Amino acid sequence: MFVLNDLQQDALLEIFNIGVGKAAAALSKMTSEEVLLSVPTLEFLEWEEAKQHLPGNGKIICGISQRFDGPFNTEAILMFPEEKSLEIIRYILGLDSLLERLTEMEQEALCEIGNIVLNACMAPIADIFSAEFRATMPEYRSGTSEHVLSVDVAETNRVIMLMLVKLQMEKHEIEGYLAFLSVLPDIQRLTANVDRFISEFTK
Amino acid sequence: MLTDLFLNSPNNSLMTSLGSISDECFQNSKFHLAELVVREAQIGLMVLDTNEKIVLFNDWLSKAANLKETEALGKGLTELFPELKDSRLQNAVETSLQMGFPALLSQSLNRAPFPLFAGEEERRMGLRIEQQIQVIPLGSGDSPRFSLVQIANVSVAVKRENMLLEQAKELKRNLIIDGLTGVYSRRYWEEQTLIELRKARRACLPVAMIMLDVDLFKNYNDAYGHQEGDLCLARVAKAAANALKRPRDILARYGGEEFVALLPETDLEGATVVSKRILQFVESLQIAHKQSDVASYVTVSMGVSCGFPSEGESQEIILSEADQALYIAKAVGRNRVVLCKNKGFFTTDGNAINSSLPERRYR
Repeated sequence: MFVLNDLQQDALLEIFNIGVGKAAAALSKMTSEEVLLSVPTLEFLEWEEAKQHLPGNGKIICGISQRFDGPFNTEAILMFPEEKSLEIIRYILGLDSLLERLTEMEQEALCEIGNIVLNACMAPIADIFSAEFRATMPEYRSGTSEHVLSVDVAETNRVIMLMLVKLQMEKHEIEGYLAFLSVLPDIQRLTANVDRFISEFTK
Repeated sequence: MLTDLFLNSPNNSLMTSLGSISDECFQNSKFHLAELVVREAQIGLMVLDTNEKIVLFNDWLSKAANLKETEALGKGLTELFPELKDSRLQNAVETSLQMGFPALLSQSLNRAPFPLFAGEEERRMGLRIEQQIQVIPLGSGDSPRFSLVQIANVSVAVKRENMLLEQAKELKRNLIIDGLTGVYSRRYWEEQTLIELRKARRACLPVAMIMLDVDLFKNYNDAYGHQEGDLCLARVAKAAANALKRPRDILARYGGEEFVALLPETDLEGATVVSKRILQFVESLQIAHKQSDVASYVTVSMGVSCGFPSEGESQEIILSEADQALYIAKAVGRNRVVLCKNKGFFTTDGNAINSSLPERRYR
């Protein structure tokens, strides 16, 4: 399914790359560990199809999501496998791993980490579009990736833009993902903005 | 009365901004209600304008910070709270004003950024209210932006969670330690055995096990009562554990009056030395046992076995051999150590024992 032309797609990936780089730097600072990033993948698919592409293999993952509404609307999610979320948060907080689930306070701390990472990611994107995003408070979700990345059922037959970046923290053998989900009407607003970015860039 | 409170409130910031509205009209308006809600809310509320100057400071915050509203209004955030300079909170307020992004400051990562106290006593002792802070941008785009800082007291939640963690620690301790005797639990022993056998398999090293049983313990209980019996078990267990010298050696209660020792990187000879030492340590306790036909004091019997996991000898095999050796030690008179070697049974002096006894099945 082609929604963007090659130039638009490259420009969009480049824009997100800058944001994701900032997000990784923020995460790296908090964990004092190098965070490696994969090349982001960008796909346009229907939700039923998108579900097959979600990471996690049906395992329980923890996600922190924030909705950003602006030049385009997107649900941004930082997610880790459940046991790795425990490891990250207890490493940052310097706590022993006594419980097998995140406590309320740990969930909140994870929310803050997600908040810092996602804000860091979206700030340069807002700058590039010289526009503003309204953002919601971070929300903690746990479940399969399908549940964590839940899309409004009424919108499931629409085309979804799914952008995925893999984050790797080698010392702790942690693999996480940053995901951005947008539904089609927003994508049209997005392409308009991308075009504006390209035209300004090529002036 | 609420009206009095409102009208008498000093230097009302929202009211001055609404100066054109008549008093009566204002008192009946939604603004009036909003003002009262903000004032009375049992949560800290503070609003900063685009220049990071405080324009709203509610009663809850005023009381907790021990600052009059008039002292706070018009001041910069770090002017009023110098310790917040270059803090994550200041950064979050800036981001909310410049970018319009909200921020969450969790108690776990920030503890108590504001010097807020529940009362005078806490203030003297320096015990701050545990805080969860949300920084929320107000207004968007064209209108000037404000930043709402909302501070919740999460001290109770923190206390509850610390209690939970304490209990988890206690539970974990109980999983590791046998409550009655103070030596390791069977569960912990099994966990460690798996780990040590894996290590031994990789390094081609032997692992030894000792099964230990308190002789005629049922008679002891009958003669002295269960309370004395428990005491006796604890003393024997402690003496046996003291006979183990290396940190990786583990003595655990296997069940009832049975104990088991795990001795990594130990051959039969080494395990024999340890078992003889246990025998001696228990004997030196001299716990009187009038119902014993073995001695006048409490004695133990032991079975010792050793195996190479790298040659396919599993935990089950080694333990079963030690158990059979223990069975024979009891059958041939108790208060002794029997070794299992190449399917045969021997005394610690190396003399073979005729093991025509019926084989005991491993539990």
